[in-house]
Amino acid sequence: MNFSRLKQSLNNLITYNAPKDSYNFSLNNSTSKNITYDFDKKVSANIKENKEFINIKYNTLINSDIIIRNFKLKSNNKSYSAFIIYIDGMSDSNLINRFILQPLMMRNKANMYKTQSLKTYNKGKKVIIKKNSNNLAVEIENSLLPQNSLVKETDFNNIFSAINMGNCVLFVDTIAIAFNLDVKGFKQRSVSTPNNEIIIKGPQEAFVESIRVNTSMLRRATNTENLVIENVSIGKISKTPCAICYLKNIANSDLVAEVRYRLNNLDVDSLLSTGQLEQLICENNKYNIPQVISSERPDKAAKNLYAGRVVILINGNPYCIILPATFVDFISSSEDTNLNPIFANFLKFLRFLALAITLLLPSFYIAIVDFHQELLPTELLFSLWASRENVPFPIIFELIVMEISFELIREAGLRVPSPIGPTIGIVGALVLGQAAVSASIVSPFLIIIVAITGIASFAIPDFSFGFHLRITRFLFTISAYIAGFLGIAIGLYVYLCILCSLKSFGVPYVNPNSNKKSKNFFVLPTWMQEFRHNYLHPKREQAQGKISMKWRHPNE
Amino acid sequence: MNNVKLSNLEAIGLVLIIIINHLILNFSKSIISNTGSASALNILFIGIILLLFVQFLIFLFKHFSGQDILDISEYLGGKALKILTGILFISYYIVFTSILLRSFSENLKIIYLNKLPIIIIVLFFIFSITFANKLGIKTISKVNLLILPVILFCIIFVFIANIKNYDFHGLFPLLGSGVKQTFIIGLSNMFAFSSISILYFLPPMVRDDKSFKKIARISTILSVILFFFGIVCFLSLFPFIRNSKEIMALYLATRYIEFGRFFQRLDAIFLLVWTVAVISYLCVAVAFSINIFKKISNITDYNGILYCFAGIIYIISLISTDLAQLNYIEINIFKYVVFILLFGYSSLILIFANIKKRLRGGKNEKIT
Repeated sequence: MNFSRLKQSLNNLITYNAPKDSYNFSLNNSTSKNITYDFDKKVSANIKENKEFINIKYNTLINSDIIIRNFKLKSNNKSYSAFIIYIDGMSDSNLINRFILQPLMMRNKANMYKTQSLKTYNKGKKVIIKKNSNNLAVEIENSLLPQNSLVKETDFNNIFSAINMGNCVLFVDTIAIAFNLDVKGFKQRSVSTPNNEIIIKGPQEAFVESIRVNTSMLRRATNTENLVIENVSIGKISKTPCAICYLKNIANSDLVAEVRYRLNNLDVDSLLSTGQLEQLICENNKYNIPQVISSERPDKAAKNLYAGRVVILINGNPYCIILPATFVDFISSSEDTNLNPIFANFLKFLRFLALAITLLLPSFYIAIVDFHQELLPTELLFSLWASRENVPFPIIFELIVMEISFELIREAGLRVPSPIGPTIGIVGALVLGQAAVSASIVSPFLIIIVAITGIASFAIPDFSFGFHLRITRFLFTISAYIAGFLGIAIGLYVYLCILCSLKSFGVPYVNPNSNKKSKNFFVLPTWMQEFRHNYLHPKREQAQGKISMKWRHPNE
Repeated sequence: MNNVKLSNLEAIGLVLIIIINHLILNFSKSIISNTGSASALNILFIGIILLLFVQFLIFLFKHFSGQDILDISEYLGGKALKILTGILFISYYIVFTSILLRSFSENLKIIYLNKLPIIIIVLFFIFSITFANKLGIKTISKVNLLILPVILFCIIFVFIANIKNYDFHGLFPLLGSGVKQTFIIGLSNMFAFSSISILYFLPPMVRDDKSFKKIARISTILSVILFFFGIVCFLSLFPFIRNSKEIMALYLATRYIEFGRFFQRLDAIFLLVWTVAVISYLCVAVAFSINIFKKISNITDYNGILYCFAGIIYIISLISTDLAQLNYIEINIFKYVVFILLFGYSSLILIFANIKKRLRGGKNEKIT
């Protein structure tokens, strides 16, 4: 028998036990409130002061990836204290060693002799290179740093931004200037095929996370010197680099100015995604209708630039924002340009049908079954009622349960690891659906309705717009349940009113009366696309000559 | 709202939606009961008179570029006349909008919403009117322009799909109950074209005088054509007695349509379209009422007024107890009010304003 345990128990019973420590953490207001935002500080001529400021700002004692390298810099045979700062993993160490530290620290012609004694010979004549020997900054820039990208900075604001982007910054004692050196060397995803905007014919490359790579892709796609890429940084803390891209000879100047105005007047701490920016720059967000196009395709961006639109790129995001956008843009695909116009228009019509089905099919089903049975032929009506005979729930409950199940399957399919994704779909759609019908929870007709609606929603090319339709269809379903076709009619009218009231950067979202010269809904054959969309009011209205195929009509 | 500029198509759409609704809301019944088999001829006759009247209106508005009837009333009789004219038009729009709303709601109740109380059915419409008007007349006119082709297509489809059911004997005798009944007493059928009331308020909303002329002429011609074909179809489709039934004739026409065994009762689909058309009409009428009120009161924020108007329409629409009362108002009061207000009072104001202007020195005179 284990007497020790018994003894221990008795002891615990009769002896005094101090209260046990309980760990009870709760998050309250921060105890340290000495946060200062002294971003306006300028670079000092005293290197110690600069270093101290950087140490505080970057918490160099705690941050392990911030590298500060102190050394002695030689210039005109004099020695100066200096240091470089960069972030490990973001800058190329090899570049720093070979092209910054080596020229500055090693003895060479450039830093050993005084400028006055530097001589070179030009066709036998002695020429003295005139330099201001007292200006160390000029000396470093001209002779000591063999770098193609060197920016002299005086504001710490820009310096921190540069360091965070992977640049290396050089501080030298006695001069109130820092040298911002582009030595970015972080690992990034290479250009690959688009994941979400797949097309069969056409370019197969997509934007990546690096803004510079994206701008280069736009340059290549547009291939014109008229492409302007303006840099803007958004976010008081994050200072996310963004680029406003437009063709200066096509895009409306007021549109560009408006985009610039909105981007420059954002009071946010950080900007991390295109989705955030979309919400911040759109006029009306309360209806959840996307008002700008989001695309991962450089060819689509280039096409829209040539149409007179503006493209915004955000660093760290493989998507661009194209604006302004109209309703029709959300049922257009990049594929449309690459296909025969008849095929493209057929696909567009199919997408429009998909839009109508996604939005209205469940509500029509409810309205017909509950209010307008006369629409169905008698045989079909009997079969429908027979299938619903054993279902104990009202039709609205049945429908909403199935719609939400479908949404769950879709969401689960997206979140689970890719090898399991299809399994979830098969299990969810086939097994669960069949089981629900067998258990008389739902009728087989309803499964067909939900499946068709689901399939149709996948045919909407724009993800955000598809999402919007999926949410809106629930409202139509409820209104149809309340008043049948009257409910749908009211819902439809209100929805149309919302669409017609929206504006995307001054352009009406739905403009049935806008296209006198260029068709908006239908894709015209290339030779007929003579004019750009007039609702964009581009500087160049005409996109091509009246006769674009001059080889065919040489005399006209 | 006065800064809103409508395109020509949008403005024509506003006029057409009213005439379409008169067709949907059984105005044809009143015409046919008045002039019998001569209704088609009567509409042609009225159409010609209407065209001449519109031409006369264009002439009268010529000297008041970009000004509506309210501005012209102010010019003629000062603020008092402006307010009087405004109140008359607001009352006209509000009262008859309410009656037509109730009339359509009653029809819906008869057709399929028999379990839903009328106050709820009317409330649905009031909600959509309020919501749409909060977004402004430009939005309403754009939506109207979007749905108009669908509605027109449906009407034409109903007319064409019923071809096999037409019996043109309904059109005879051509002169119906006689020349006097067709051409003199039948003049009261002009109430069907009360859509021209909008023309009195359009000048400041359209681009220029040229646009106004175009809009007025095209919309009148299209209205006459539409109504003429509507009347011909109804006369050919239903025996004279059926035409005086309570339910909407256009709805009844859709009941005859069938394609094979599968599509035998398509009327519900058309009901959806008619409902959208009625909502659009109600929204247009309320938008113009608000526009008038804004002008006579100089208010900037019209949301409060919108809720008031919506409430008034709701109350008025619920006042009448049954369809018979509504029909009585439609046939006996609406006709004469339209005649007096649109063709009498308004044109008199325009005539006297023109005379005043001529006396004061014609075109060069500035109107403040």
